[in-house]
Amino acid sequence: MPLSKQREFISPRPDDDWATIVKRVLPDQDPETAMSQLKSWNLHLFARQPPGEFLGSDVIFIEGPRDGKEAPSFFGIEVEVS
Amino acid sequence: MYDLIICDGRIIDGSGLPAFVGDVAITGGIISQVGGRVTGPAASEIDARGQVIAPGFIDPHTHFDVQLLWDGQARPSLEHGVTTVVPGNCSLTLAPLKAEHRQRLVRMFQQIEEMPDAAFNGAFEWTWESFDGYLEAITRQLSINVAPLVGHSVIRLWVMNDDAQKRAATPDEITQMQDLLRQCLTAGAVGLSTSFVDVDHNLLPVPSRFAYLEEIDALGAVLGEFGRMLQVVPEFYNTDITIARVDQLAELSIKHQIPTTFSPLFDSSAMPDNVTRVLARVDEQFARGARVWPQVQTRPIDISFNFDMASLMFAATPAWYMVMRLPHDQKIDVLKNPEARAQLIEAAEPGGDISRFAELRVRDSQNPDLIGRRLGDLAQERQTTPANTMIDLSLEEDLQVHFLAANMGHEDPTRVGPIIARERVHVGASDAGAHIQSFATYGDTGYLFSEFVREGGYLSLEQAVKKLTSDTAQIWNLPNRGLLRPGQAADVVVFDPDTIARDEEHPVNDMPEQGMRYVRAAIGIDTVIVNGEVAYTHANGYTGSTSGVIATQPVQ
Repeated sequence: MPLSKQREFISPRPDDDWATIVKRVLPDQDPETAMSQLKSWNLHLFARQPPGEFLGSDVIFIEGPRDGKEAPSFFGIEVEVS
Repeated sequence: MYDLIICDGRIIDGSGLPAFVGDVAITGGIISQVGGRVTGPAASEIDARGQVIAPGFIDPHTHFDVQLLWDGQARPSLEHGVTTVVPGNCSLTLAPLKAEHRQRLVRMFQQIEEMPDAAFNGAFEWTWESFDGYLEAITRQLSINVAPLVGHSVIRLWVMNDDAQKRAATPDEITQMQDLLRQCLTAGAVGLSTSFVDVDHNLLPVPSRFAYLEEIDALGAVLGEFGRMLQVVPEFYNTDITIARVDQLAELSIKHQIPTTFSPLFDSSAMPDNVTRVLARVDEQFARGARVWPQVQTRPIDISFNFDMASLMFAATPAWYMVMRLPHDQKIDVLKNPEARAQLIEAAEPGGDISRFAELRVRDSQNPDLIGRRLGDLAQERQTTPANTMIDLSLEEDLQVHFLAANMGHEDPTRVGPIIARERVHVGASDAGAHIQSFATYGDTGYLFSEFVREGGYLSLEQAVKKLTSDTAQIWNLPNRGLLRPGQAADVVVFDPDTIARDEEHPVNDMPEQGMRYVRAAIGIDTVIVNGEVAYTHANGYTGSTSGVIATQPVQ
């Protein structure tokens, strides 16, 4: 059974930063525009401290959310607490 | 001669097959006969007429790691019919742990699982560093069976020390982690737990979150050598990320042929299609041959709190959370400071929107007239706002007023019932032993029967028992447990199907140094048997038996 289409993501590699990810996943786009777009797809990494810094285990989306908007969050949680 | 015969009960054997009336006989800690009229002498008998005889319940998501060191009964889980617990979830365990890392880990436990300092310091003697040393320490007085996970964060901490919370592991460090995990699994660990969301006492991500996929994959390979479980805490508050985690787990499951589980998965009106979308992905991944078990709790999310602690209640309001983490007297000074208070009010009630705390109620107070009152109503009477009222009431009673935020999510039984009944949903995520000053993490099993079997009819009695017993034993690869069959370990619960439930939540001071926690008593549980020995009866309470074992090994 084929998997349905879901929002595409990658796992970061050691030594990755936003620029290396842009280069790898959006190689044909203008780097500045692509960087801005990539960050806009990963607001969950900007809603915590320090904003925009990702960790080895993080999920990094390489496309936008379904319907063009972020899914609502549970219980208003946007910070890192389980 | 039998050790024990349980007579004339309604036998629900854990397989999901229909109940039938008969006897269950036990010899040497093992079930020797199921069904029929058992003849022959027995050292003791239990009359189970009108009651269900079922396998003991298995709780797959607990944090009893520390409590087991002074309470081998894991109270009050045992009296709810739970005969096996899985501690060590969410990347945190008390072993393997070097002596110099102990207090660091204690502070992580306190931060993440909301457990008091006294639980760790003074209540027991640290006698171990290794995983098997920890198991030796808890098995001296176990009444309940334990299938312990080992935490990824502590494995990382052991190998990388301070760098565990700074950087990627080197290939050599990953090899060391693999060796350490192998030792833990050999000693009896049921699997590895990791977390993608938790932060420590300094609000730094826990060590497991610094792991790149190659590290998790390498540890998955070791789990594959043993066929053992990988448990993760995903970003449960975001559907897209949770689905991404399902996909990651599925890849690891297929590649290394391991079971995986993630917890929690909540239903919430704030994310109405969350469970539907996540479970659809789970179904697709199961169809590929992956094992990715979502754990769903039965109880609604109720949070109790007072201002004396940093409650989960304030997780989404960092300004409040930081104040709540201050020492008692300093906290009072801040709450009395007009400027600081104004900032807190603005953070909680931005632009005068008083909805955030209006529905909260006073749960416990020296003033009985306040108990049960809505903060919104009290605020009107006091001509102020709910947030101000909450601060005022707390200051009036030296921060000891307790508040209740009821039904914060997962509260609609007409939505939760069908979810729990699904074949690929793993009933769990109780968090028993953690968050002890925020809510009672006990009695989810009784609630399954009262709310979703008797009241809602979403599961049959047999299906509910299967969820809590053989399903869990098979998902976690616990040999010889979860079924009433000859040759199985004699973990048995005798209960009244017409009354089994959880009692009301209430505070008790039974933690070390008279520390407070919320608990619930069991309703309808008659007898709990662990490896053939009676561990609890409704009539006489806990027996002090010490028949609990590490449940990852086959019974002899």
